[in-house]
Amino acid sequence: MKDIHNKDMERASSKQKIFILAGLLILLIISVGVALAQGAVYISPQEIQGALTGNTGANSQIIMNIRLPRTILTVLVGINLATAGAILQAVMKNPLADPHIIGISSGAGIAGIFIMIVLPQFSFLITPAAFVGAMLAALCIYILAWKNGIKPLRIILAGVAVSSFIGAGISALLILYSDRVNGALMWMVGGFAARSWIHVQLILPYTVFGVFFVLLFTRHLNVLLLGDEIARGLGMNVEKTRIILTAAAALLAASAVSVAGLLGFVGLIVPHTARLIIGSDYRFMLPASVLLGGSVVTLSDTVARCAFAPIELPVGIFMAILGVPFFLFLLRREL
Amino acid sequence: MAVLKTENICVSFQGKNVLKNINISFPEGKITAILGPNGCGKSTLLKVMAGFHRDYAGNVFLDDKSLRGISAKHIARRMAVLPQTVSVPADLNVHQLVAYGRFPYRSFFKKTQKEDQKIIEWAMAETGVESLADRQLNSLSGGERQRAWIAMALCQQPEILLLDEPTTYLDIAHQLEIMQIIKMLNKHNNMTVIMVLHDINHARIYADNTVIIKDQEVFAEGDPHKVLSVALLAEVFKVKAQVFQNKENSAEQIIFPVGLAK
Repeated sequence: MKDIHNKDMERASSKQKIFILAGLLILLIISVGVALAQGAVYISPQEIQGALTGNTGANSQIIMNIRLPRTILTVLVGINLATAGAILQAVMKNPLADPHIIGISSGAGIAGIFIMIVLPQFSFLITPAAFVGAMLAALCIYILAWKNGIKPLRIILAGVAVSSFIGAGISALLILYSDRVNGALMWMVGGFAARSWIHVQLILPYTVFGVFFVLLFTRHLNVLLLGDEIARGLGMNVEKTRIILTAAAALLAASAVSVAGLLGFVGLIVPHTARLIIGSDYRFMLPASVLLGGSVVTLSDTVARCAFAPIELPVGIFMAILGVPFFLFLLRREL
Repeated sequence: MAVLKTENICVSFQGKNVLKNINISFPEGKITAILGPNGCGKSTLLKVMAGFHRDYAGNVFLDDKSLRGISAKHIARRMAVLPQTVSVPADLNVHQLVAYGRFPYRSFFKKTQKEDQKIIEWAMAETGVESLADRQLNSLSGGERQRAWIAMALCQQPEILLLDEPTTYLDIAHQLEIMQIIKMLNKHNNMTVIMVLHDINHARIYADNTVIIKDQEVFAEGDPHKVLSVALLAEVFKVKAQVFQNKENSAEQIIFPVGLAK
């Protein structure tokens, strides 16, 4: 009798979690709807539907050429950053690991900014360069933090050090080339102004491939949460898994940075919120982070566009305003 | 027959020897207790044999094959390891933890099969944690938690079980409970058990074989009733001990440390 009871309990809680995931999917759809409707001109759901099914007209033009690519982009960037954060938190065994805080985004950022202002004729190289920068930053963090294994505290300290170091490099670039910093400055705070279908094309393959790939590793991530020794004892090649997953996270973060700039805190707040809602089991937590990441960035960007219209706040500033209090809340709660 | 064997294991850390020329054969189907004073290197030895610590000279042979040439997955199917203290996510429940024991048998696209479920249930029954399946690991008592970890190890269907001080932090009743589960697994499943222990009498009562490590080297090995003597305790642990007779069982003697050796 007891066995049956236990299995029912297990199933019930899994079912509950699937309901939560369905709820998050609905939230994402609503966020996309709101983002498409709101802006300088309000566009009704009927008009949006018309535009999507091939109607022409002024509002359809706005939808198809401006709001739809921008909204898709916010969803993809949110997914990438949240997924990268969720992975890094398990792989680096640190609740504060977020691509922005530990310097992976800065690595992508300095490579991107370097190309943007020193070698603008090679701007098609921004994404691969950002990726290389992100990977190099991740590698530096590991080398600095490695001493008979990875300790969570050393990771975060090494990350902050790498992040500050790269930050100094970025500042130096901006000062040396102060005549060309205009685009780079906007890129530093992160934002989606004037983004179009080209950018969607740029990031889409990384999101699709990256998310599908890391979803295969949810069991590995769960086992990694138990620590290196248990993971090794259960037959995992811990170093290899860690390198593969860090590479995947760096790829996701780098592609997001290359289209949206240095957008902070998404990778931190979204996985933690997902964990609070659905628990720490990565089989559910990772998909929840994906859905929530897309929603949070899309809604934030909509608010950033509309709150002080016609002035548009870069969403990065808005995310920081939202992210810092949440970060402090986490510090008080977990440490 | 030796199922696990070490050959000239040497480990040094920052120029200091942690283990020197360790040659031990662990007999198949027996319980071996490793004892020694703090800092003698016994936990490092366990880590080397478990494959956690890979910066060593010499060789560990699992079924006459060097551990260096065997994949982690293959090792995990033959040998389960429980380290001393492990922190887990707050919401991890017993069933989830036990199910992780099937990890070495999983491939990317395979989900939990019926067979896996059967093994998980068997492991929970063996260790008596079925009724705790939905409880969060962190809400359990020390003894219950240790049984849940042993259930996870059992799910690996290992032939060898490595345990690092499995009774640390447990009260005396739970210590005996864990030792009895280990003995039962050894008897019923012919499991080879290798564990680091601190309690001399646990080693005498439950182990078939003992290895004493002192100053980074093997000091003595063999039948615990012969090896663990008053003289050895004086020399290895620097304690003065006395032998008492168990009045209920005339064959059983208890060694009790009554004070530090002068």
